Amino acid sequence: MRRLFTNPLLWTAVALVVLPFVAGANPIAYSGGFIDIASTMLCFALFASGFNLLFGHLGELSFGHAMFFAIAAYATALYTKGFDLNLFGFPYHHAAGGNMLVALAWSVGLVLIWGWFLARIIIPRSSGIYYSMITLAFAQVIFFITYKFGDFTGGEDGLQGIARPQIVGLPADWLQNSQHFYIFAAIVTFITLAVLYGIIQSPFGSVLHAIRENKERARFLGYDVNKYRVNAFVLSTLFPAIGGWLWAYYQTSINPDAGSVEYSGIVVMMSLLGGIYSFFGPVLGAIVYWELQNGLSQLANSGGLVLPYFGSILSLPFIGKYWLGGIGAVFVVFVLAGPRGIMGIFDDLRRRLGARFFGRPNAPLTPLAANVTPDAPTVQH
Amino acid sequence: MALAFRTEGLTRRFSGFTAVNNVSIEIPEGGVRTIIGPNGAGKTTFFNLLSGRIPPSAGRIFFGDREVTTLVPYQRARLGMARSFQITNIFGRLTVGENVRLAVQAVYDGKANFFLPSSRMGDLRTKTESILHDIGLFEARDVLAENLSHGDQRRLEIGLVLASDPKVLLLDEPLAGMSPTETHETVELIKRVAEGRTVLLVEHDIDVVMSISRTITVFQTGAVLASGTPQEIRGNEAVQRAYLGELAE
Repeated sequence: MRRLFTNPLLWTAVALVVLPFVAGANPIAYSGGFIDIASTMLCFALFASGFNLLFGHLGELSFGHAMFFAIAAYATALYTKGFDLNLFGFPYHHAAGGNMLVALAWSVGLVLIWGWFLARIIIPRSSGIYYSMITLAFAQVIFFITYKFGDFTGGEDGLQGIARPQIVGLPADWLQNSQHFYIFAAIVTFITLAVLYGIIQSPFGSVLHAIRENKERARFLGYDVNKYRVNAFVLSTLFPAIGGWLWAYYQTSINPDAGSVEYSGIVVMMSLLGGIYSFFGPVLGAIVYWELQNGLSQLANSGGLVLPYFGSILSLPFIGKYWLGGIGAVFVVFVLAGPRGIMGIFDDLRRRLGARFFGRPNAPLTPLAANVTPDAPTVQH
Repeated sequence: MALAFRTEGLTRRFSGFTAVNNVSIEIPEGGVRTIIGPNGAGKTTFFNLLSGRIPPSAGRIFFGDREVTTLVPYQRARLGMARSFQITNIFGRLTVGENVRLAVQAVYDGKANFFLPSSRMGDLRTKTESILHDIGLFEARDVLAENLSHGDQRRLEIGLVLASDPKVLLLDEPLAGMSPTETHETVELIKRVAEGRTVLLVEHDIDVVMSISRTITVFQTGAVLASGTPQEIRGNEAVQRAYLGELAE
């Protein structure tokens, strides 16, 4: 029973059900659909969780994961809209396609191939800051391809009018409805995150933790560390790919921003915000990030803090368009406080409130949490 | 007699300084084979060469019948060679149980796939628990390794070395910094694991070395000064002058 209550997948499921009712619902004056921002949160929850397989679990910072998000989103857009290519004088016409599983296969396939190719190039040659810089450089290559090859990718404007797919057995326009789309996105997100959770809990996942903690010891135990780094890198691209696929359908448009440095950076921020050593951390980080962004921009651009019966009580017009600075400030606080993020705070609370309510975690959820020596070991049955 | 290790003209230079100089020795299989020598004699460098932590400047290394000179550490580990380090080298922020399980699991590497749960990986769990009992850390299996006492960390590291059931164990000063009780327990542990295996040991505690070693090799300034049984080494004048002299006052 305790196991069940500490299972992050249970909390993920709870979050997915509760999210559409709370997303965007803050006391700050707000107009617009709550459900829209909830779908956005899910796309980025997948994106950030995949990125964090490398960052939190393997301990390597990729600064270019937005390229996988973008490749998948563009692949979905191009497949759905159809395109014309002229390869060395051989014209190729692809008619518009409506099968979302084919779009998914294209997206994931292209991303995995590109991810595997990059991993084989980058990983044997670099680590640390050089690794981050090389991933950034490759992401810039993808960014400029989407930006410059206007005939194919739509250039700066991107591609618009991506038709949302039809789900077999449901009306053709079922996914047009935002609430329906959220249900679809939540199911996809849950299945995908369950797969990721399986990977992290598997013996393979343990080896990633071992490599994070001590590469040399892992090598001398007989682990081919670089092989694990390559596999983890390729796997970590799968989740941004699924996120990008959803994102293209959700937005019904895509532009080069999807592969920008900013997006690569946002997932670092989401992971740190939620906590990089916990499975649920990046999911929570994505939710909190969009909630903050939404709230702060509303605070700045509208009449301020609006309470029922009291009306506007806190107007911050001087923030104006600099509301992003507010997110920056929150980010600085969490970076200074350490990588355990919000989940770290929960973990401390749980420890403090004691075993009576929440059960003692069998293995520390957040490895760095336990500078506190755990109490007497329990017997496992 | 079968050999655990054989080196041919093994040499390692560090920018002008020769740490290991043209060492050609044969280390037979079975029992505790100890390397002693004054500080800076090249013992640890020799260990690093055998285990592949650093490449040699010249010479060849054979593990059993097989040349391993160019193999990297994980490949040597898979051939059945496991080592501990002079400075404790464990997974500090993982639990003691996870540390040992990872070491046991390393033997399954290559066969382990992403989704195969631990419970289906042969006797992974049983093996982990038996190692934990062997090193006396079963009760502490849920404690983070970094929170163990120094002596317990040293023992955990021996556990990691044992876990893959290696043919040859290389232990670099496993008793350093241990209390007398811990030393006694660890010596008993080493004696136990040396049955049916080869233990190559670097150690300073001369009483321990004399009592548990089958053969002793003495290093001095990067070369082998003498090699033989504890009795032969005790009676060797060159060794007494170079190393034991100061202790035998």
